[in-house]
Amino acid sequence: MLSDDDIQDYIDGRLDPEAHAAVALELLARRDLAAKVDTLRRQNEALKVVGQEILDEPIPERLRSAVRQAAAAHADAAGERRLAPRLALAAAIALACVAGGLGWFANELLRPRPDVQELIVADVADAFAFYGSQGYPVDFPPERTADFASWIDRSLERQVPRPDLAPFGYDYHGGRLIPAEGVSIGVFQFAGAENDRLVVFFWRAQAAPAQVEELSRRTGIAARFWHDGGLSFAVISNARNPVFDETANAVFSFFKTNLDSG
Amino acid sequence: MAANGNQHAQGQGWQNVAVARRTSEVFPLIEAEIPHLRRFARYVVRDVDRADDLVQECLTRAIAKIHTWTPGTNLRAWLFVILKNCHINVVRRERPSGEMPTDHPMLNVPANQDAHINLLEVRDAYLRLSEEHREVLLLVAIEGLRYEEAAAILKLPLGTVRSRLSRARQALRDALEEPAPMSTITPLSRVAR
Repeated sequence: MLSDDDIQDYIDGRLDPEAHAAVALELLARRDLAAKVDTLRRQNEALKVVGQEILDEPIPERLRSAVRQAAAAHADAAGERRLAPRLALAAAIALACVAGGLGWFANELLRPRPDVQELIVADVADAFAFYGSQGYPVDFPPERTADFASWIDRSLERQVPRPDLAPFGYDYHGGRLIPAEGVSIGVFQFAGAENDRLVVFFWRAQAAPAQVEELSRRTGIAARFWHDGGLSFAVISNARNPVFDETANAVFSFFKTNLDSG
Repeated sequence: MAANGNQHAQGQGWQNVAVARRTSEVFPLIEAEIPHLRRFARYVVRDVDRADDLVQECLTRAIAKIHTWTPGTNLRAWLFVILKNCHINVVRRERPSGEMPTDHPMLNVPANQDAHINLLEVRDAYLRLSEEHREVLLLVAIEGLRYEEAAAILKLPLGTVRSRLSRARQALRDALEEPAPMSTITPLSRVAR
């Protein structure tokens, strides 16, 4: 006597050859049941094409880059390859912080083995250096600001409002979340009138990097980094000018005022 | 893959090397699974953008906890577990009581319907099933996962997966015998670009 489980296993190919043959033999003797099983098997075969068109769609770049950026970060963290010159440079840029005022971090030494926090900073700056001139890719254009806010809330487990930098000549161009070192990094991207880019990065962190140093002012990229209320922030731009300093200060003040305590 | 659980036990130094090699090798495999994650997500949340958001969240979490994946096991099933957990979290946030949505507007399928009328009928009928029936059929009949893997993804006992699968198949048969009400058809863009 065939049970329902027997029939399911038969349809799903879970039986060994001997058991499969036994079921087939019994079905030969039971035409009514055989017809039902045949229908279920046809159904099963037809189901295999459900959603095939989704498999055939091009993969959105944001999903590919989510994996590739994480792969690159893992490779660096695991010491599987040496830092590429660009990454080394970018890391140096990212660790550059302007000393003085408003609580920017500034220190005297660059440690030879950066901790996780500093690797995140390196990722952030590397990403900016890579995309900076063309503009950082966004997954959430300005019209999807509400969706992005929801994503930030879910990924960082808190709300992070977006500063309005229009008074400084920067229009908002969208945002995204990128994975790095086991955390999600939020990105707000802005563009100025001269097509200069300013990107605000933020991520959850328990503490600031132990040591941050101003390394260079010759790179053409300006960076500010700080830690406040359970989040770390970086503001990076390819325009080093007084407007950047003023804008970065405004971003700092904005979060100081508008960020809920985490 | 370069390592397995036994090799991990051989010592701390070796373990670190093995894990590093494993993680670097698995990323291309994860990328190759993105289309299947998108299909699963698409049929769960029924919205293209929200489905891709869910996949991105899943990828982020998977990469963050890649050290918990065991080489040699089904990577797709492991990713589906994470995707399903992400979806459950979203549902809980959106519905504090935790209940799952019960309203299932019908989803449409892309054009190119000149041939294989029976296949299209099956697809239409499938899309009219409840979420739990679509899920279990997708995992077992469409993705070809083992019952045990489907049980892990759905957080159900194996016997429940079997019975749910049986009911889903019966529901599909019933749906095939009922014409789809036109009023339930939603725009094509909801599911496929």
